[in-house]
This record gives sequence, C-alpha cells and structure tokens, in this order.
Amino acid sequence: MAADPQAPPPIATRGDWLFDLTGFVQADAVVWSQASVDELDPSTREPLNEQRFLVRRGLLRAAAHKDALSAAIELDGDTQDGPTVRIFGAQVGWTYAPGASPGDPPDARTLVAVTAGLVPIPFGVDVPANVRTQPFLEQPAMSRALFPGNFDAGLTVAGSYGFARWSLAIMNGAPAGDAQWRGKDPTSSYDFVGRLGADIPGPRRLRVEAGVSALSGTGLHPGIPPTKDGIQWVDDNQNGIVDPTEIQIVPGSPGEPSQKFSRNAVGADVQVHWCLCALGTGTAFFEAALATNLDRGLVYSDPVAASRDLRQLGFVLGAVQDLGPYAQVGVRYDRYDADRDAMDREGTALVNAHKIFSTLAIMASARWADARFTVEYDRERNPFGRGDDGAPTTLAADRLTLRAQVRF
Amino acid sequence: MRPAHACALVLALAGCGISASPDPGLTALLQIPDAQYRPGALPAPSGGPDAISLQTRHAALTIGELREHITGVLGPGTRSAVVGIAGHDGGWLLPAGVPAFETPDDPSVAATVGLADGFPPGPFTLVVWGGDDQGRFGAPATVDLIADAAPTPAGELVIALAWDGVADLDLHVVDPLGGEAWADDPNTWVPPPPGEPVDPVAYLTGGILDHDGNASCHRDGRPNEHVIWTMPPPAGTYIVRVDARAMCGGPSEAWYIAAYRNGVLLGAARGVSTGDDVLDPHGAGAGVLALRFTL
Repeated sequence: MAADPQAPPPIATRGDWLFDLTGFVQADAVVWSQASVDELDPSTREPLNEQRFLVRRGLLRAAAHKDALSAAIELDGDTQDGPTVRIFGAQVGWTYAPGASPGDPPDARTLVAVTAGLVPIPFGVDVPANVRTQPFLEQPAMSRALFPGNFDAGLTVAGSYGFARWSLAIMNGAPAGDAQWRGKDPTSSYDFVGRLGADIPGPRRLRVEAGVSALSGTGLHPGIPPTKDGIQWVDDNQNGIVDPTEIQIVPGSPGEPSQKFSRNAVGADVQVHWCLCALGTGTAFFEAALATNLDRGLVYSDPVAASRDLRQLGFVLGAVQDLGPYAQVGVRYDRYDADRDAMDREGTALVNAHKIFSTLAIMASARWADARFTVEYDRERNPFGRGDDGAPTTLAADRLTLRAQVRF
Repeated sequence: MRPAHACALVLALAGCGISASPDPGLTALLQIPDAQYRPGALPAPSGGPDAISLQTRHAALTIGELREHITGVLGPGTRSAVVGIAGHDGGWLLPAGVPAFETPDDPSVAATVGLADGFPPGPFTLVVWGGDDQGRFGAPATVDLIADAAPTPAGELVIALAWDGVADLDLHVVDPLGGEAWADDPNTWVPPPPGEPVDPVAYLTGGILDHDGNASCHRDGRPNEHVIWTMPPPAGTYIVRVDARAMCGGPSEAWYIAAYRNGVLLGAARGVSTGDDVLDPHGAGAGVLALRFTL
C-alpha cells in the first residue's frame, strides 16, 4: 500500500529513525444478500449464509523512515472465512527526491523510489490504490480476477518528473490472493509489470490523470504425479450388487510434468478530478484491461488444460462526488469477461457462453473526522446460473452492505 | 437524454434478465446432483419443443438412495431440460445434451436422480420438459414409477448403529458366547483352534458386520453399521458398544443404537461421542457401553 497522505506525525524516534504506527478497521454488516441461504455448500461444506456481521479488514501498519531509507510492514486481519491474520505488505525502500521538503506530498517530487518486498502491483489505478481511501466497498471483478490480493513480491522502481508518472516492477507473478499458488511463486521466471502515465493540471482546479499499463509473465500448469493401479466399481445394471463384470481396473499412469505458459496484459486508465465550490471535489474514472491467460482469481486461466489461450477483457467506469465536507456519493459499473471464447453445448447447438461478471455499485457515505460510514448496493451479474433457455445466467447475488470504518 | 432512456441505459449496463435462484434445493423431494434447482411451479407448455420420451432403468426407486440413471429424448431445437415430479413444485434444470446415436436430430438429457428421505412411498410420475432458446417449454414426457421405502436389514437378530455426521464410528457387539464383531473382526463366530476341522458354513451362525461406515473418514451418504444374525442367535446377554475411531474434523457425533429380533424392537439407546473418546484404545473390547439386552 502507498503511504497514507494524511498520516499523523511519527509516534517515536530513535536516532535519525522516525516510526509510524497507523491502521484502520472496517466493520461490515451485510443486511441483505440474494445469494444468502442457511445451508452448506454441498461440495465444500462451507456455510452459504452471507447476511452477517464481519470484520472486512483490520489493518495495522508500522513504518520507519530515515532520510532516503524506509521500511514498512502491514498486518491485515479479517473474519471473512473465520478470524485470520496475515501479512498484507512488507517493503524496504530508497527514495531519491531532490528538492523535496518535509511538507511535500509523498509523490510530488520523487524522482526515483525503489521498493522491494511484498509491494503493490503497479498495473492501472485500482490495483495499487490505497484501500483506506477507496470509496467503494470492494474492488471491481477485473482487479479481483487479474491481480487478486493486489500485492506481489518483487522490486518496484517508481517516480515522477514534471507531469510524467512512471512505475516499473519485476515480480514473482504469484499475487497474494492467487487462487492456486497462494502467493508462492511456482516458476523461476518473473513477471514484468509497468505503468506510464501523466498527471496534468488544468484550469479551475481541474486535473487529469491518465496512463497505460502492461504486463508480461509466465504461469505454470501443474503436472500430475504418477499413480498406482486401482479398482473401481461401476454399477452398470444398477442392481446395487457388485457383479464380476462391474469391477473396472483403473491403470496407473506415469505422471505428467508441469508446463509453463505465457501471459500478458495491457491496460489504460484515465481519471478526471474536479472541484465544485459549493459541493467539493469529484472524480470520474475509467479503466480497462485486455489480458491473455492472466485470470488468477475468479476463473483461473490454464491454457494447457483448456487447450487454447484464455482471453480476458474488463473495464470499470464511475464517478464519485463530495457533497460538502461530510458526505460523498458514487456510482461504479464494472464488467469483466473471464473467457471471451468460451462455448457451451446446448442440445445440438454450440453457443457462445462468455463468463461475464459485472457489478453496478451505488454508494453513499458520511464522514466525520477519521470515521466513515458507507452504505452500498451492489447489483451483481455472474455466469454461475442457468436459465430456462439453457444458457448461463446470473445466480442471484445482489446485496446491500453497511460499513463503518475508523482509521487511526 | 430523457430520464426513461437514462434509466434503460443503466439497467442495460447492469444486465437485466431473470436471475437463477441460489437455493441449492436440498429440501426438494427429488434430488439431482450437479443440476440447478428451479424453485416454484413446474413449467407449463408455452410453445416450446415437446419432450419425446423419458426412461429409467427400474420401475421402482428406493427412498433415500441416489442412484437411478434417467435418459430422455427431447424435441429438435431444445436447449434445456427441467426434470420434476408431477404435482410437486420445484424442478431441476439441466442443459440439453448431444443427441443419441439412434436419434441424431433430437437433443438428449441424462442425469442420476434420487428420492429424498421425506418422499412419500407409493406411485409417482417423473416428468421432463424441454425448453428452447427463448425459454419456452413444450409438452412434457413422463414415466410412472414407484417409491419404495428403504428395506431394513433382514435377519433373526439385527443390531444397528446409525449417525449423521463425518465421524468414523465403529459398532462392537459381544454375543453370549464371548465372540465380538467389529470393523477389524466382523464376525462373532470364533473359529476352532488350528488343527481342528472347520465346518465350512459354521461362520454363518455368528453375527456378521455388514460394512464399516465412514471408514477412514471416507464419508458415506448416511453412515450406519449393522451386525446381523441370519440364523437363530445364541441365548444369553448381548453387549453393544460404540467406539469413536476418529472424529474426522467434526466436533461431536450423536448416534443411535437399536436391536431388532425378527423385526421387533428389543431396545434402543442414544449417545454422543466426542474427541475425548478417540483417545481411548480402538481394538477388541473398545468403545462405550450403549446397550445391554438378554435373549
């Protein structure tokens, strides 16, 4: 996570080192969810109830600075799948910011900042954004699928010069939330990620940020270990009795090696910030990404298993507007196609069956000092259901969520 | 842009249409795994393709079992199939499958179905509808079947253990002659010492364990174990124990013991096993005393 621009003064010093301890807690109440059922998932045996109280995030950040050197570690706890605490980010860094003064914003005059460790993935705007200040409760499906967890281990070089902004990274390619590898890199090759952008001030406090991002990397299709011979009973005549002809030999197999595959993505983003005197600041944003074999969160991309490349396309657009110093409203629509070439057989017909996730999020929040109370309605579309026409359709998943957040 | 147009645009972006129900359908009388539950009334013909035929392997289905394979032939143009029971709400939605060899122009449907525990015994009608790409249904195809209650194990003396969780429990039964039947030694009959002749059918005089429920934490659908005497059992006192071999991740396990003589209940008991019981030895003589009775 990027440093908090409104962080309080350091809590302690030792020699030239300055220490900060900050954090926040987000307590959620899902007051209504279409997907909520008082049952267990038949396959995982996990509860299907979603209408509940939960701690969405409880984050504690300890940071230390000395001249150009810095280090930080962030611990994150939540109760989404039961109480858990994990490392969220951990970085060491060196910053070269000629001419910067202590009162400057963190990124204002940073010519070069080198950061290593578990760091935000510098792709687009949403993925590396600070979760403390994000107006919407959850990330769009595109970010959750392509960069689950937002953080990856690696080395980032970022900086700015004039209106130009840039960040390049060499990373493991196994984000913290990777559904298969859980943040442990399965290949010796690295992913290269970067964003080139500009921050252009305009008249009347108008400001435009825009950038393009790209990723090139390698994934791994897991091989299978050798297996021994086995037997299996198939009740061919369904009489419930083991007949001699119903015992099948399942021959052992020699196993298969794992295979690497390439993945890549390009993205573009633009944000327009304005200030309306009577109301306050506002932002409109648009971000899109085109990827191949990069889904690591929602519909895991394995082109070796699928015998074809899996192409993804996602975008998000929306706007947020302050209503005075104590209120904010926003709307966001995101759409993500996890497999643009998916086909589904329905009877004698072979039809396109794109795996599309989309959410229309409508948010309103009240702010006071360091507290924020948010109510958000999410209208979700997903490909998990099936309609009377045989085609994939949404499995009802709309929900209304309340969140109380206090930062310190 | 007029407000109505703006509203329509927002709804279009959000993706309109009917959402499928998240209800997993576990309370439905008919159960079809890997199909999508469709709560509410079953389809009514609305101009879609007619279903042609529906077949099962057996004329009678056992209540509480999930093992009957059904196949159906659907009319040309069918994209989906809804399977249900006539007269009962709630069906199961499946995509239409590829045509069978004999009917190359007609999509098919195939599934494994079962009847829930609460299914009323007696005749019933299984129905399948076919839907087209507009979600319209035609006339259904039906098959008349019989729902049979699950038979209890037959025997002169039956001692049953039943539970409903993940734990690996073992039934131990000691007969009046001192023989003990349990998972690792499933017959109360004690063979003669080495060197003495063995009656080849003498083992049938003992009480025999039918199977090991939830063995090694491989969960059965509805775990149970029976020790069954198919020949007249010896007179005397019988001891029944329940041993918790492993809890398999469960916090505790409630169990039920019953003993039947020619179908008549002799005695029953209930109990709960916990993780502490797993710490005890698990060989012959293991387990907590659940029931004692005399013939």
